[in-house]
Amino acid sequence: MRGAFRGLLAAFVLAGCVPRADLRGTGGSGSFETIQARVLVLIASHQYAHAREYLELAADLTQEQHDRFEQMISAAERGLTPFLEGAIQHIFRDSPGHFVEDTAEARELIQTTITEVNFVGLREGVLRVYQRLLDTGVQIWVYVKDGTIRDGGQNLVPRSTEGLLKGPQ
Amino acid sequence: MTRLDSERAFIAANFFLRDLADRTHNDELKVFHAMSGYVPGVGSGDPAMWYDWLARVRKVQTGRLIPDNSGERGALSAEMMQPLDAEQAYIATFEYLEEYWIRVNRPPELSDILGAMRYTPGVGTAEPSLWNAWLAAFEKAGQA
Repeated sequence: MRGAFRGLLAAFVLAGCVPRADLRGTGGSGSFETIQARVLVLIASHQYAHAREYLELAADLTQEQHDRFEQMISAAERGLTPFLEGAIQHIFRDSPGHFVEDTAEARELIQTTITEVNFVGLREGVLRVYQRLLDTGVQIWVYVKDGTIRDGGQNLVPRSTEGLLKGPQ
Repeated sequence: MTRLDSERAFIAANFFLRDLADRTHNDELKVFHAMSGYVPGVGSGDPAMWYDWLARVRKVQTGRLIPDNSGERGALSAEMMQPLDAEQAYIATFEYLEEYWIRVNRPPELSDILGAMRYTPGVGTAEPSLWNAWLAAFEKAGQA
């Protein structure tokens, strides 16, 4: 009986010693939503190294998804303004003035636009408006409220400051 | 019966939503209005939202909705729409806000507003005072 217990214990211990690389692709790390939730929790608690470690273990992520999570961790480390998670589908969509895809590059462009130099003013007294022009002539615009990104995208034809701020009379 | 073109009707929607946000101190509705706010010749704050509005107008008028996130809405223009009466414009306003509510994961603050705004033809809005507020906004937009 004691021998059987020891064997079982050894099995548990050894399971914990499996090289992490061997866990890749086993599907055991959960769904995309689970991975996202876990990474977001780790980011929120400033456990960036742990978040990266978890990301490396995550199975079945595409390279694009991996890059996006890596950008999220990196952006948090740099103290960039985060996106409001609920607003993601509104921000990244195939519509005028927006990035079609939610990619690491698009996120980086939006988040790094939020600097005091790029601050334009308040829209309707509610949203902080930021904009910058890229070398390509594309304008990146961002709306921020209470420290989170509520909206943003790219204007292929830049708007004037007045156009960005002016609300209905 | 007064009818407004889709641009004036959008201005009516913005009058109505701003007034409602102010009266209810609803922060989420204020954010929505700030993004949606339309100025002729400039567009809505979020450029896509003008086209979201036009998609809703078209749906009220034809029964066909151009899907969100399809890349097709940008081809819409005010000239493609027929003028709207107050009821049509209200339904478009409700659906325009409802679509945003769904897209941003149904924030409770907007759920409350949509519940009060819900409209039944021949009966009116769930919160009765909102129908008169809408008619006032519609008339104001027609005179502006």
